[in-house]
Amino acid sequence: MADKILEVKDLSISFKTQQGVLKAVREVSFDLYKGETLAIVGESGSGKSVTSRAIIGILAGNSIHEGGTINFYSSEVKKLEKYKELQDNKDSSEDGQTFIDLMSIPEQDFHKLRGSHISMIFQDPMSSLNPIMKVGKQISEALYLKMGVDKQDAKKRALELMREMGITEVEKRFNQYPFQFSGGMRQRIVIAIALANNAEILICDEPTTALDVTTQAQILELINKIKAERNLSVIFITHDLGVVANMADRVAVMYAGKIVEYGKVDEIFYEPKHPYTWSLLSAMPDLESKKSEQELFVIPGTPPDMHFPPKGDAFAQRNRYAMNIDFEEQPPMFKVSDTHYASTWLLDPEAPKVEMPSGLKSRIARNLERAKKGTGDQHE
Amino acid sequence: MSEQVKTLVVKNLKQYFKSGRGKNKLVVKAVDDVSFEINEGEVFGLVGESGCGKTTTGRTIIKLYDATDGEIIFKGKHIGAGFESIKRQISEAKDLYDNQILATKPLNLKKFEINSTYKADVNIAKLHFDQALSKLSKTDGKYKEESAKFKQIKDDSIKLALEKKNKSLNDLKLDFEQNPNKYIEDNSKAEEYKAQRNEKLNELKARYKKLKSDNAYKGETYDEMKKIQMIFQDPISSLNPRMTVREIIAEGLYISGMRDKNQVTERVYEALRTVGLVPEHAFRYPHEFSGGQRQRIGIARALVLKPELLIADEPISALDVSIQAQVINLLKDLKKELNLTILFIAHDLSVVKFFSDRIAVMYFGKIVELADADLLFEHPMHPYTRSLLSAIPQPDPHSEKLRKRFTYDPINDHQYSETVQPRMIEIEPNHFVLASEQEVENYKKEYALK
Repeated sequence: MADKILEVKDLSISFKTQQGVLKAVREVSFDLYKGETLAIVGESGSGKSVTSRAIIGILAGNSIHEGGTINFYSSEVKKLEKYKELQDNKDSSEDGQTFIDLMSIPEQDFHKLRGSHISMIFQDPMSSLNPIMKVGKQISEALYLKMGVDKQDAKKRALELMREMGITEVEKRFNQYPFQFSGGMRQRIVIAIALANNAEILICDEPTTALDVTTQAQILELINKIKAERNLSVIFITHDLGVVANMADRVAVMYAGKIVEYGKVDEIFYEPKHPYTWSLLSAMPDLESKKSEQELFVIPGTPPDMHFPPKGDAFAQRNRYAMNIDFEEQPPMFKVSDTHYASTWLLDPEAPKVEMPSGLKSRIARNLERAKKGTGDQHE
Repeated sequence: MSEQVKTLVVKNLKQYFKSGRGKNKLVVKAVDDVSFEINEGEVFGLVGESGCGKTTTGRTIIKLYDATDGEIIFKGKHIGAGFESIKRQISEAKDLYDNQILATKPLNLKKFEINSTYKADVNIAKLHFDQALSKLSKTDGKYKEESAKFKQIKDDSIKLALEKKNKSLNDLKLDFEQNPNKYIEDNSKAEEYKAQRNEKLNELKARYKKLKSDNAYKGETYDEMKKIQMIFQDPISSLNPRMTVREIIAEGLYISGMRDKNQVTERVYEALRTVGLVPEHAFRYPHEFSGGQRQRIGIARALVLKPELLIADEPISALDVSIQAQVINLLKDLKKELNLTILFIAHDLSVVKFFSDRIAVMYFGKIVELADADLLFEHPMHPYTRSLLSAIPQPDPHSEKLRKRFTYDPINDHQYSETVQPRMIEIEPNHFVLASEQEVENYKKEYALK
């Protein structure tokens, strides 16, 4: 197993709103290792974006940190004021540990990490770029503000970065404004800015949702290429399961502020255990879905209002496999394998045996069959 | 099948957007010569990347835009047309007969020819000047000097052309004085042409007038147009936040002349029930609903006028996965219950395949492939269709790891030339592809089709 770079433990975040306290993230825990892609999947409002914003320290002003830690493992943290302060107050036995809780450090410290160690790209590339500033300047700005290089070197490095991102005619493009770029090209610029300072963690918040399929494919290929070249750790947030299958090494499925299932990508796609994961997987047709299969599997209703989180399992209301206990008590994380966990009472030894929906079952069987044959191509 | 009246026939539809004037003039061919037919009760999918013209096609059909050219026929009746081609026919006919009439008057013809030559010379000189200027860089220090030089050349050639013209006119005058016999006018022939000209023009103008009246948004056309309704992509921006749901849904009824309050309310409630909402929702505002419910309101607004053709413009792209399935199933049920015909515009091919009977793939304003849904996915022919299919990520990690993406290069993927131009060819029953004869042969070989 590679080195751990980020460890989120029991993270809970709420927001003060006019209607009361909204519980956005509830006791979320996961690890991120060097060089892997972790995909966080869920509907809007499931807390996936809030989790990632907490990691990069850009939560809105009305947020409340209810508990939990985000430990960032890197030798770089030794440079932080907070770290020195902590070391001073500790006895020598704990000396030398190289992580720090990102939820506890002040903004001045976070400023040193953000961009240079943890970076983020957003869904809409137009709103993350300054419309009245040349893109070249926006990239080189990131370089000379953080790295302390002079402007000439920054420009040279920015041109290099643009080339690395697959942008052609960089000299000309350097002096253009964001509106002169297409959606895919803009997203390349945003990625260039995010990676200008060799960040170790890249958080991608639905980076391709606003793009066309062909452009999406190009951007995903670019992220995969850079990830391999730089041994990046990527947190990839999306609701498109096709994209997850393409990108992820591990997957966490979020619902109503909680992780309901996580595991390796194959485990989630071929042996899903949680009814919510089943629903997500069967809600969308794939290219082999026949019209004769008629109805799509539908998750009835809408996600719960997190101002008033339900008593038991938050998914119980929409779950056709819900049992009485689901309305009473929240299920714990049941272990399926060393890498695969799911939070559903269906995994309790006393629960009745329930199969996943037949449509999904046959689809998975079909996919596995094809994988065995080794053709792997759904498109033919 | 062919006897049956098609619900919608679109013939050679063109939609050009013009902007700027003079040098800055820009014509965007958003939809360029698109033809298709939709049968009754059918779901017709229109796919392509953003900017390929699929949304514009939908909006032109429902007359949110005035078509540049082509015809739109709904249930056998013309509801929309563009005038570009009839206008062109009229001006061509004028030119043709004017030339014939001119030919009967030798002196005038000669004068006309001399003048035309002069105009052409001047235009060429101006064109050369423009071309030379565009090659110069304004920041270059020599710009002033160079451009003055080119201007001199232009002025000189115009002067030369003028001298040539005057000389020719002079020669003509002399020739006319010496041999007047050469220049006798044939008046009877001229009259004959004039009569022909008037007849032809009257006929064309009558057709133009007819098209215009068909195109006008009133009378019969108006009644028919009510049977075409549209649902939009974004359920937030397509609902007026200051109107209650009842007002939003009832607006169409009021506009189409229904005044009885009770009747309107009844129809609104009925529409709400059809889309799975309850009458109590009628007095709330759009912001009180979730995304999926808002899309249902949008659908109710379209259904309240009892449409026969529904244009669904990316109705699920802005929704969450679990809600997408709800909306697709709802549309599927409604289609069955109300016998709707649907034009389904989307970029998500998996959904389009699941929902549509036939699919057209658009690329840069043109339909490049049109086929039954299953055929299109079994035998994708056009390289653009193939590249589009190969780009869709599927929820299957094994095949994803192996997936190879093709890229489409519109210049090098085809060997088109002046003589070899692509056209829509039916390559197998119900499968059309935009290709040249040679390409069709290759495609057939590839799939071993007869």
